[in-house]
Amino acid sequence: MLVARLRLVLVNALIAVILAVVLLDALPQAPAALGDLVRPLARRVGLGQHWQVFAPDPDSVNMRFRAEITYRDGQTAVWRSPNWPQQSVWERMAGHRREEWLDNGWGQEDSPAWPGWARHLARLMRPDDPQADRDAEVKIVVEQYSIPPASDRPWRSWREPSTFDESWTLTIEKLP
Amino acid sequence: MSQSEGYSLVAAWQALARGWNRFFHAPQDTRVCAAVRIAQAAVLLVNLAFLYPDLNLWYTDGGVLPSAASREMGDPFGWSLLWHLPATRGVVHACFWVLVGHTVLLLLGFCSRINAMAVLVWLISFQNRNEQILDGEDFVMRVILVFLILMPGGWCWSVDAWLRRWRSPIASASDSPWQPAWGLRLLQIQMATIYFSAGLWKAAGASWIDGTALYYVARLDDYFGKFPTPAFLFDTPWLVALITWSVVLGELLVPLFIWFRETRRLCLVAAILFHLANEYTMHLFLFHWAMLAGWLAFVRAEDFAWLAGRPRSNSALPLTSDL
Repeated sequence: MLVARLRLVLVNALIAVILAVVLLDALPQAPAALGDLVRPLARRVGLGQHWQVFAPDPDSVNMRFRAEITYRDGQTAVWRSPNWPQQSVWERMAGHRREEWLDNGWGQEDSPAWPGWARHLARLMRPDDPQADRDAEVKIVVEQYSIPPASDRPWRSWREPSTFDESWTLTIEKLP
Repeated sequence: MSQSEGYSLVAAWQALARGWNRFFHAPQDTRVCAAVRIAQAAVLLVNLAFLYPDLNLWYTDGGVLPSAASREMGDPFGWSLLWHLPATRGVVHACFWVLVGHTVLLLLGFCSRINAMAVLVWLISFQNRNEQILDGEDFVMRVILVFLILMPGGWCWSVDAWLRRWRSPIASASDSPWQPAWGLRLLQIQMATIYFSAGLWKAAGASWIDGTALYYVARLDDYFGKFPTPAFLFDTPWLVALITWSVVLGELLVPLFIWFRETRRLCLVAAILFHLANEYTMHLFLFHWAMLAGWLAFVRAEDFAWLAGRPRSNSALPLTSDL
């Protein structure tokens, strides 16, 4: 009887802790100090969460990537990211992680991820040379299209393709 | 006691404790737990199947993100078993197949809680090893796994159940599908929290309030346009505003009204239609399927009878845990 009672108390305590962690980590109105308090635990046990799905406002930019590769022998190659609307549903499913790699990284100009990616692209464009990345320079450029503000009327149809008329350099990686 | 004398703190506490115990500890239909387990494991296996061709690219030192760079850019509270193992093809593939093995065992319901925990550990390890390829479905899969550890997901429709019956073939009360399942209650709260949190975030955004948010979403070419959709739906301002506001309203109301027996089924149907409509129009990989696996937590046995047009079966216990 005592064991059962103790078990119930422990289970209820666990339920209360989990509830606090979930609610404080997930809800935007939760006090920041309490959110910061539970976040380390939430992240470690797999309960870390944020649900800003297209919020507070959706992105208003479409983008493509271009890599200009200069190899050690002076030859050049250009890699381009996929044109998403031209891909089939299956290709989009299969390429989802590649799309996320680009989508999550496009604003990070000093990311530790770029040297490895640059090395991969240099090898990808010269598959017959296992040392292709050595001493190569990879310039990664973001080409973007800013969706016109919704206040501009009449609206451009959502079916019209984006025109990527803006570009900026994300990083230039000089590979050792 | 008259109200003028005030409320009793002790009585209020006892009522609260009774409500808490009734909510969390009353028997639940463990077939629902089994359905969540099976659906979640199936979604995970599809996810792993799509991940397999690019294992070397995402997780080895010869790929795009060496282990050291992954640690440098990762969550300060994150961890990964892969950080402590050589980032070679052989090791990464071996770890991947261990994860697949645990997921298959979870699907079959063999040592369900242990395998849910093993899947969680390996899934977190792979996710934290390369956070730059993560998306919404990864968070959903992860949190559902936590609650699968805490619920009797293997009580029904599982190898565990078969083994239990094989060991003691005489039917007993303990064979009833109605068992305490506070983990299922927590998953229900988690699913409601996802919607409510998403709704609150949107309510803080100007474009969701002025009704133009879906104008932008429909023009994001990496997400929108999965299957043929009439152009006027997202080219007509008043229609876009209507759909935009209905999304926010749905995300705020479904998590509140799904708890009441009068509105539970309506909310569930609304959530299912919402996810299927999004799945039709948008490329969001497995997000909606992972969410639907989670919403199964609110399904009841009589819903299937309702769908089939039959009256509720008498075999089930009274729904004592209904609010």
